[in-house]
Order: sequence, then C-alpha cells, then structure tokens
Amino acid sequence: MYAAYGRALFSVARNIFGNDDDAQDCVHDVLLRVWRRPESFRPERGSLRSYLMVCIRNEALTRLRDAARHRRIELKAVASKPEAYDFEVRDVVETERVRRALATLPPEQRSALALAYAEHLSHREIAERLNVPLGTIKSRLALGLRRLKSQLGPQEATV
Amino acid sequence: MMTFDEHLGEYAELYALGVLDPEERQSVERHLAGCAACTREVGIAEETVVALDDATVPQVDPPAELGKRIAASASPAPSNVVAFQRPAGLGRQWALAASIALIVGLGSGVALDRGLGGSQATTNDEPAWQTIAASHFLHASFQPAFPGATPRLVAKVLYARDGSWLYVIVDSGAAGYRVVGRSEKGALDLGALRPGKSTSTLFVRTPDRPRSLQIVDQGRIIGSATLAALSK
Repeated sequence: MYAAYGRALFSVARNIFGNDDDAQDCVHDVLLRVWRRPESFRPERGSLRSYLMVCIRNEALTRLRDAARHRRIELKAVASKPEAYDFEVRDVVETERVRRALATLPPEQRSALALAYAEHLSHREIAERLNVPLGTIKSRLALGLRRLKSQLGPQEATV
Repeated sequence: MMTFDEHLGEYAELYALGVLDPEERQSVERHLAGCAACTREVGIAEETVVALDDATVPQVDPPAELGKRIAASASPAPSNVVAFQRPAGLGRQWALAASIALIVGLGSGVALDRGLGGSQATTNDEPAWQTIAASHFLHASFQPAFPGATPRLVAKVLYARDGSWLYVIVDSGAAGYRVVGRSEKGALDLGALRPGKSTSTLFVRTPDRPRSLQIVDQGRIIGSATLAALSK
C-alpha cells in the first residue's frame, strides 16, 4: 500500500498539517489501521486509493481540530471576512478540468466547499463563519459536491 | 447517538468532505457497515474529493524513514500479546495498554496487566499513562551489554517524539537497577526502576533527549538502547 500510495497520502496529510512530523504520524497510523483491519475497505466503496486518501483526510482533520480545541485556538483566525472563498488549483493536468467544474457551481456552494476543503473547517464552523443555518450549509456542501461530480464526469478507476 | 432511518442522504458527501463531528462520523461508519448502497454513494463522493486533491495538493516525497517505520510497525507482533480481546467498556485505557503491549511485546501481556490491574503499579504509573496517551512516541529495545550477558535483559523504552519524556519498561523484577542517559553533555542518572507486579518501570520527563540509555546494576551496565535523534 505504502509503495503505491505513500506519496499521495503523505502529500494530502502534509497539505493539511503543514509539517512533516504530523503528516508522517498520520500516514503511519492510518496505514497500520487499514493493514490490521483490511475488512474496513469494501470493494463497493470504489478504489482503494480514494478510500485511503479520504481516511488520511478525515484522520488529519480530526487531529487538527482536536489540537485546536485543546489549545483553545482558532484554526484560521480571520480579521476580515471576504465575501467568497475559493480554491487554489495547482496541478497542470487537472487544472482546466477542475477549474471548469468549479466555475459551474453557484457562488454559495463554491464558497462552502472551499471553506470545507481548503480551509479545513467543519460544517458547524462554516455555518458560523458565513452566519448561515447549519442545515443550509449541509445542503450547500452536499449539492455542491454532487454538482462537481457531475461536471467532472466519469474518471478512470484507480485501484 | 445519531441514527439514519433509511440511507445517509447528504451525509455521504459531508462524510467524504470530512466536515462532520466525530460522533456524526461514527454514526455514518456504523451505517456503512451494513448498507452497500450508501457505501457506494460515499465512494462516489470520495472520488470527487480525491479529484480535488489530485488537482490542488502539491505532491511531496515522504521522508525515507516513513516507509521503514511503517514496515517495522506492520511486522507481526508476538502472538501471546495480540491474542487479547478488548473487554467491553474499558475504553481508552485498554486501548493504550494494548498498544503498549503490542509495541513492547514483553512477556504475557504485562503492559495489559498494568493498564487494567488497578494495582499499586497502575496508580503509580498514572501520570505516565496519561502523558503517553496524549503523545506521539517512538520505541527502542535494550540490547544486552555483551553476548551471553546474564541476567538476560528484556526491556524497551518508549520515548516522546519531541524528546519531552521517556518510559523504560523491563520484563522482570529489577530492584536496584538504574537507568542512565547519555548525551553530548555526558551521562545523567535518570533514576531507579520501580519494581511492579510483573514488570519494572521508570517514567522520566527529560529536558534533553539522551542519545542512548543504559540499564545499570550495581555499577555494571547490563543493557543499552539507542534513541533516534530529535528531528529539527
């Protein structure tokens, strides 16, 4: 698993933590957990790669939020609140495809997704940040991701 | 506890995005364990999140030691240690004890005994358990001071990644044994191992992580362990 996906998994973890040490711990712990409980991945879930990357993402976000809670600090303190939040697309191959797909989203869905994905906020934090009811935020996130999926179209399966 | 009447609905996407509270996430995972349809929905949502990852996350090579560390951790643990089943309702303390039993691998679940026994040793070790539970740590084995050394020493050290503490555990009564740390500044007597029910332990908060540890009996070195350098 590590040989095949280690670089991608470490990159996701490092992108969230912003440092090597926490990213290493996260990748180590998640891979060991899956290694010891292989039944946790079911084929109908999709590709193993996607499953592992989302496991890393969820674990990293949980640790980040726990640490923030324990230290009583804000994840991202903002002095001023911009009207919209956005993504930074880097990969040259995927750039246009993802940019086009993101551009089709209504601004409120795009902002909510950007806060969830790029700013690592929870749904409650997004609702608080945007001063919008939690139920509305849940709907915006779910609809936004579904729309993004339909715009991105089918992708080649990666196992 | 949150439950779902039929299917996850929008919680499939919320789960894949990682925005849920821990309790909500656990509820989703319980539902997924018995629902193939929702498992597929979550998988589809996950593919979309990963498409964002692939487009936006800078790719970084992991440090070389990560692969070695994972390989070492994935190697089989002693069967007499991994055979334990989690007793109901014992929660975090059991998990920690079981983790340490796996890591330390000393005798017949000695770390587990210490974690659950409610004995004097457990009470004495409580600050150590709490600290270990809240830390990222590494571990190393003590090697005999020389081939054929007696008594044969079976001991390990767990130590904080940030160098703030270390915990030595020896699978025997070790009355009188002391632990000495060696660093660039010289040797420092860290204290005596405390004999417990079936192991002896020493928990020390260390301002500077030693490069190596030695277990000493009446001035005679009987085992030593090398610790990883602190990462900058």
